[in-house]
Amino acid sequence: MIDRDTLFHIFGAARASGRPDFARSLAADWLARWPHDLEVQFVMAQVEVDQGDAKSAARRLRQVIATDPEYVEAYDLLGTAARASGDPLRASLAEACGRVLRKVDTPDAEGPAWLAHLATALASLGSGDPQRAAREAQDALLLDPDVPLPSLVLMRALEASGEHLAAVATARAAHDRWPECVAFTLSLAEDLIDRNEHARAVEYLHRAAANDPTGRVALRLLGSDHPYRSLWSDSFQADVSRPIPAEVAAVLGDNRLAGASPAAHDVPTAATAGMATVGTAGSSPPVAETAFGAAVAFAGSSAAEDEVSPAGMPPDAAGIDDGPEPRPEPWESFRGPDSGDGKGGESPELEKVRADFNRMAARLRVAEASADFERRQPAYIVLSSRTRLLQRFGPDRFDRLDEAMADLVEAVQTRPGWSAYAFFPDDPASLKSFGLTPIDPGNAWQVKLRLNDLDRALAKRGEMIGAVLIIGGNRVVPFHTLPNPTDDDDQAVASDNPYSTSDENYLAPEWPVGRLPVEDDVDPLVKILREAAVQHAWSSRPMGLLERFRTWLRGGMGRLFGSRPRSLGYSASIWRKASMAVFRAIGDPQSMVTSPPATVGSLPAEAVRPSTLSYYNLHGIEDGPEWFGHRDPLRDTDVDTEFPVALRPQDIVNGGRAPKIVFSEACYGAHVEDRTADDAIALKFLASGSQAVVGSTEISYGSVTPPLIGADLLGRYFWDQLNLGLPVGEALRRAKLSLVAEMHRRQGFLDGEDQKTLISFVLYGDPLYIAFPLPRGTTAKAPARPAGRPKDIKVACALGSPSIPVAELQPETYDRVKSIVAQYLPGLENASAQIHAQHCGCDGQGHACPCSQLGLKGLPAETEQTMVVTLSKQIPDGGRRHVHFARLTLDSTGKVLKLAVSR
Amino acid sequence: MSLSSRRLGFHYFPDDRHYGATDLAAWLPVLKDFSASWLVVRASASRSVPETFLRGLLDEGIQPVIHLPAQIGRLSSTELEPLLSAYAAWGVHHVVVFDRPNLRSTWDASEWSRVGLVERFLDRIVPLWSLQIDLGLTPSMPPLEPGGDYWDTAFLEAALKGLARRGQETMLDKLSLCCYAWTFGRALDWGAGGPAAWPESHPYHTPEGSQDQRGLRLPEWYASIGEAACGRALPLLVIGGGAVPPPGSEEPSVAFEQNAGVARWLFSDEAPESLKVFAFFLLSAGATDPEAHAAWFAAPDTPNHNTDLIRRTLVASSKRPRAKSLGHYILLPPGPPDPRMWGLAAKVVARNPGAVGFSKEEARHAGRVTVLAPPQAIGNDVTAELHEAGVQVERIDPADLELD
Repeated sequence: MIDRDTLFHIFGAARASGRPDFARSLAADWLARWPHDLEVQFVMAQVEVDQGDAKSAARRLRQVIATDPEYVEAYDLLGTAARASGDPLRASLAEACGRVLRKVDTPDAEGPAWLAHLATALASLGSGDPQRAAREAQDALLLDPDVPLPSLVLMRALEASGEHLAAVATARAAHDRWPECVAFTLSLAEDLIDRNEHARAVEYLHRAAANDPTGRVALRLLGSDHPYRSLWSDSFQADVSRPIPAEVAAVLGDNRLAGASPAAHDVPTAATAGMATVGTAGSSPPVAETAFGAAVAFAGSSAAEDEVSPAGMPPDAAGIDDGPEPRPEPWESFRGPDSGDGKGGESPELEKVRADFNRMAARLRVAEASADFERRQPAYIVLSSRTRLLQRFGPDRFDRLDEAMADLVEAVQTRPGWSAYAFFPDDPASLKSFGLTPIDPGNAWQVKLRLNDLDRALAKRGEMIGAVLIIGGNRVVPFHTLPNPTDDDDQAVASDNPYSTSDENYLAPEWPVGRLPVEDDVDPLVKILREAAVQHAWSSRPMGLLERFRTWLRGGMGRLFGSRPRSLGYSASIWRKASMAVFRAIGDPQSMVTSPPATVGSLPAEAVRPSTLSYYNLHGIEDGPEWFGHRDPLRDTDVDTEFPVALRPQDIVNGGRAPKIVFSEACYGAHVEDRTADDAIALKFLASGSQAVVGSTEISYGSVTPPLIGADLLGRYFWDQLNLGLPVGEALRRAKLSLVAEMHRRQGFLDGEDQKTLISFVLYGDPLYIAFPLPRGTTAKAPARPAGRPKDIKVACALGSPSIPVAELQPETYDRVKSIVAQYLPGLENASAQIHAQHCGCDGQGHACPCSQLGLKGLPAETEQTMVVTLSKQIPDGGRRHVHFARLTLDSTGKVLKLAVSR
Repeated sequence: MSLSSRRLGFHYFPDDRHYGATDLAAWLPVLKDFSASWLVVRASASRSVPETFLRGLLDEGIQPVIHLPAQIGRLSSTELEPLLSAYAAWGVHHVVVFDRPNLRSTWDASEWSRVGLVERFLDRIVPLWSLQIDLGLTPSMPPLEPGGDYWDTAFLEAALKGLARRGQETMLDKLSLCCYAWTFGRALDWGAGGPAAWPESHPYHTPEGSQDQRGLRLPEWYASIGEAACGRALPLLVIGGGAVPPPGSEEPSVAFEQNAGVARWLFSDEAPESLKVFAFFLLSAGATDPEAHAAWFAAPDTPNHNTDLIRRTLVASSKRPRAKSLGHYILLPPGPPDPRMWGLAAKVVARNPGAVGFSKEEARHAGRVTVLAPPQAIGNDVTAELHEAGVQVERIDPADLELD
C-alpha cells in the first residue's frame, strides 16, 4: 500500500530510470482504485506519450479536460499527444486553448473563430467586464466548439453579471453534454440547495467529489474552506501489484524503498511539481547527492521545462529518448515484456533455489513456479457487453450494475497476486487502455477473439487472463454455438468453452470461466456481484492471532475427525451405482437420496436440510423446468411412475438453505435461455444464494455403473479438485482436462459423448469462489495456467456417414447389444437404432463436428475401427415427453466397449 | 405504562464485554429503577450477545436493541444470517447493522469517492433488511451522524426515496429509523419544529439566526423527512442521545443535568408520536474507555453524576397528567361519510356531547373517546394506542344501535 506522495516519487524514479513500463503499471494500479484522480491520469498520459501510445494518451487527456476544462497542462500534453497520433488539427486546438487559458498569446487567425471569442471573453472577465465576456462566450458557443471551456466561461461571466438564472441554465445545458465536468456539477448543486432539493443537491456535491477526488477543482472554485470539504477524501492509498524494479529502487535511494517509505525523503517529483497539485503534500525539495537525488534533479528539470515550454512537453517527449525497452533481469523476468526465460540451462545452484521456492509455494498453496506454467500475474476479467446491458436494463440500472462490477474488480484487486479488469469488448472506453477497438457484442467469436487480444495486451504488462466472469445471459454475451459431436436431438451445443482458451482448441480450457446468466432483472445480479466482492475482500483481509489459533484448531479438529462440509447426493434410482461412485468424493454414499422413492411430494429430510455441496444425477428435459427421477424396474417394483418429478424450482428455498455449490448431470440442467428463476432450476439456485452451479446446456451422458464416463466422470473429478481447495472454476477446468487425459488413456481418443461433456458443461457463478471457507489470510490454490497448449488431443467422429443397417450387424452382436440394454436400460431394448462407424480424421463432409472444425488429429490409422450404436426412444409421461438416448461403442468383433446413456 | 414512558432506555456499555450473568444481575436493578424499557447493546458479527443476557432483559420487560457497527460492505446477509436467526429466535426484535454510513470513516476511502453513495449503501443494506424481515426482525436504518460528511438529512431522504423507487414498499412499511439525538451543548429546543420551522437551514450551512437538526430535536426532522418521502411517520429509535458532558469538562454536572430537561421533553407532547425509543447515552463505561466521560454510572452503585435528579424528573414527568384539549371525541371509521353513521353519531352526541371525526390523531387529544365502529373498521390496535395516550376509550358497535 502506498500513499499519493510516494506514488509521485516512484513515478519520477521510474521515468528517470528508463522504466516507463513500470510507471504505467503503477499508474494503472492507482487508477484502478482512484479512477478519477486527474493528476495521475495526467501522469499516465505522460507515460503513454513516452511509450508511443499517443492515441490512448489523447483519449485520456480529453477526459481529463472534460472533467477540469481549466487544466492547462492537460491541453499542452494533449497537443503533443494529438500531434503524435496524427491529428494536427486537434493538436493545434489544444495548444491554442492552453495559450488562451494562460493569456500569453492571442489565437492565430487560422484557428477556429470561437477561440478568438473565447480569448476575448476571458480577457474581459479578467478586466472586470463580465457583460462583454458573456457576449463573447455566447458568440463562441454559437460555433459549437467541442470543448466545455466556452460554456464554463459563459457561466462565470453570467454569474459575475448578476444573471444567476441564466448562469444556472448554462450550467445545466453544459452538464447534459459534459456530466463529468466538476464546475457545472457544483454550480447545479448549489442551485439545488437554493431550491431546497437537498437530497439531490448533496448527491451532486458528492458526484463532484467523486469526479475530483483530490479536490483540485473544488478548491480552486470554492476556496480552501468551503463548507462541503468533508465530502472529499483526505486519505489516498492503493496497493501496488508489482515489485519495484531494481533500477527504480536504485534511483529512489540505494534499494531502500522496500524497507523504508520514500515518502520519508519528502521530495517532490516531476509530476507533482508540474501540475499545480492541490490538496496533496507537495513540499519543497532538499535534493540529496545520491542516485535518488539525481532522479529528483531530473524531475526538477522536467518541471522547469514544463513551465517554460509552451506545449508543456515533458522532456523525454521533447527529445530525450528513453532508449529501447529494457531487458529485464532474470529475477524479474516474470513481469517484464520479454520474460527472458529461454530454455538456456540453469546452474545447479539456481535449480536448487527453484526447488526450494517450489516447496515453499506448495506450503503456501500458491501456484508452483514451474516452467510448465505461466508465470505472469493472473488477471480476473469481468466480461460483459455495455451496449447490451444498457439495452436490457436502461442507464440507471446499468449504472448500478456497473458499480457492482467495479466493486468486484476492486475487491479482486485486493487479493495478493491478482489484478482485475472490467472488460466491455464493445465499449471504446473499456478497450482504450489495451489499445483495442470495439467489436459486435452479438458475435460470440468476435468476443472470444477480443478476449484473446486482451490476453496479449495483458502480456505486455506482465499479466495474463487468470479467470473470466461473464455478466449476463445469452442475450448479453452470447454462448458459442458449437457443432454437436453426437447424433442426438441437439442441433448444436451452447458453450462457454471458447471463452476459456487463447486459441481455437476449445476442448482444452486454459483459464476458468464462469457466467452470471441472469438477464431479466438487475437486482439479483447486483446482489450476487456485491456478495462476491465481499467474499473476495474478506478472504484477503489479514488474520488476527486469535483467529489464526481458531483456524488452526478447526483445521486440526477437522483432520482429526475427518469432518466434511455437509453434502447432498440426489440421483435417479436407476443410476444410483454410478452416482454413488461420484458422491463418494464429498459424502457418505449410503446417505444419497434416490428418486424414486423420493419425489417432490415426499422429499426425505436429507434432501431439504442445508448443505454446502449438492450433487444431482437426475433427468432433465428441454421444455420443462423440473428434474426427474428414473425408476429401476429391478429395485423399485412397487413404484408405478417411471419418471417421478424429483425437483422443481419452487423446491429450492432461500434463507441460507441453498447449497453453495451445485453439480448437476441433468440434461439441460444449465439451459437458461429465455428462462427466469421461476422456470429454471439453475437460475433458482443462483437466486437462492448458491455461489456456483455446474451443469449441461444440452443433453448430457453418463454411465449406468462404474467405470464412470462422461458427466459422471467429470463430476467425480470436479469434486476431487474442489476437495483440494481449488476455486470452483479452476476445479471444473482441471476436471475437464482430467477427463481428456483419462479418456485418452482408456480409449486413445475422445469420442462424441466425451467431447459433448467437455463443451456442454458450464459454470454459473464466480469462477474464483472457494467451496470451503479457507482460513482468513490463507491464499486459495491459485489457478495454474499451462505455458503451452496441448497438441495431441485426438478426437473421433461418428457423424456424417450413412447409417449402417441393423441387418449388417452380426446377429450375435445385435443380440448382445439388446441384452445389455435390457439389463441396464429396460424399455430401450426395442428403441430405434442408428449405427455409424467412427471416423479417422474427419473431413466434416455433410456435417459439422468439433473434429473437423478444430482440425485436431483424428484416430491414428492403426487404431482399431469402432462403431457407435445410438438407440433413441421417446417416452410420453403425462404432459411431458422424455427422450432417451443410449450410445454403445462396439469394437470390430462386436464387443461393447462403452455404454453411455443420456441424463 | 404510557407510550411516552415506554420510550425510555439506555445505551449500555460502549463495548461487548459486559454480558455476563453478574453484569446482568448488577445492572437490572438500575434499569428497573429508571423504569427503562429499552437497552441498546453493542455487539460484533463474530460473536453474539449471550442468550442468557438477552433473555434476562426480556424477562424483565426490557427490549434489547442490538447494534452491530461495522464498515459498510464488510457484513453480508450470508454472513449474518446465523447470528440474526439466533437473535430472532431469542425474542429480539431490533438488530441495527452498520453505524453512521454518512461518515467517510465508515467506508473504504476509494469507495466513498465514487458516485451513487446512497444507492450503493442500499445495495448492501437491502438484502440484510430482507433477511431481517424473513426472520421476523424489524429492519432498521442505521443511525446517521447528525450533519456528517454526507449531510444526514440528505442521506436519509435519498435512502428513503431510493427504497421507494426500488419498489420496496413492504420494506418501507416495516422500516424503523435509528438516530443519535445529542444536545451538542445547545438549548433543548434547538431545531424545534423541524425543517418546516427553519427553511433557511441548508445542508452544510445554517445561517446566523437559523437552526438545524443537530440537537435534541433531530427526531422531529427525521420524522418530517420520513413523512415527506413515505407519506407517513416512520418509527424512530434514538439509540444514543441526551446531554453528554464534553471530555475534560470542568463542570460536567451542569451539562449532565440538562438531561432532566430531556426527560421532561420525552414525556411531553412535543416529542413526535413516532419516537418509540430514546436511549440515554451512556449507562456505564470502563474508567479508561474513551467514552467514560459520558457514563452515568462508574458502577451500579456509583453514579458519576446526579442521576437521582434525572430519575426523579422521569418519575415526576411520567406521573404528570397530560392536558387534553378535547373532552369527548366520537371516532368514526375512515371512508366516505355514511348518513346512517352520522345519525348514530348524533345519537351518541345527544347523550354525551363531544366532537365527531375520523382522525385517531385528533382523538388522542381527547379525555374520552367513543369508537363508533366495529373492530374490523377500527382495530383494537387503535384503541390500544389511545389507551396508551391516556385516553379513556369505549367502543360502540353500530350494529348494536338503532336509529330512531
